[in-house]
Amino acid sequence: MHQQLELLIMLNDLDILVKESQNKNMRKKEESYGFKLVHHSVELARAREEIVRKLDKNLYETYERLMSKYERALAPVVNGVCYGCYMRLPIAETTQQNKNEKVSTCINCGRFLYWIG
Amino acid sequence: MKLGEFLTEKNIKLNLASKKKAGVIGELVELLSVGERIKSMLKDNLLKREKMGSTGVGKGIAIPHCRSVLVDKLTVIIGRSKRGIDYDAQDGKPVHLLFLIVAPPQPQPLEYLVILGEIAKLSKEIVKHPDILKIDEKERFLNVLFDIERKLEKRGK
Repeated sequence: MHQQLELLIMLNDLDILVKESQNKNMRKKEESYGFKLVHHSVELARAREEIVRKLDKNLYETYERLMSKYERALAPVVNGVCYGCYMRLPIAETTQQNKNEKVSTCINCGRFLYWIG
Repeated sequence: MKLGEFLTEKNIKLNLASKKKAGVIGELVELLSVGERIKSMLKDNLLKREKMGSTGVGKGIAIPHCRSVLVDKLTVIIGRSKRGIDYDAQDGKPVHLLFLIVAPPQPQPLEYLVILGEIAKLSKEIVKHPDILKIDEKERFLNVLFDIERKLEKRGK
């Protein structure tokens, strides 16, 4: 997998984890199951800084723009469909080899893509 | 939603070797049907979730969980340690039984939260069946677990 794509995935998963833990309903639900959540983790803030430091500046800017627009900046592709906007991607893209060896975006919604399978 | 939909004998490790949280999470992630790099990233993600608050909910049970774009279906892995794991659980006691959940970001959190809730409910019932810690056959272990789930359903809890 392309190193920058790995960083984008790690950043997106981390941001969603923090975002969901701050979401009132999700938090309430998890707490009702017996989990206790902290409001802020210094360690996670540091982990985020570390990821951003390694990430290409232009990719990070695009990432932040996508995050301000959508819930997630990165979408999985399953059976040729972008699971961000549910549009089928062009055959020229879906038939390529080693699709996760580069950073690609959905031609419809612009989200970064992670190809599954 | 039933546990049987997500659990087979392949998803169970009854004799965890590690004594520490990072080690056991690593052992459980090893059972996922994904590549090595993905396993490593998922382990990292699960440990990050632990920084938000230990998923050791007490009474010897932990439910490490995360959602990631790296997986395409919800998967549950069960691990057990007879000796107990230093897990930084809420009650400070060692953890003996772990339910690890990894889920994709889609569909929206619903399925993930439902199964998380089911397992949380089940775990409260399991502590009333300490024999589950002694079973050495995966098939029997699963049957006991499903049996507890059925009884729980009947009681409408």
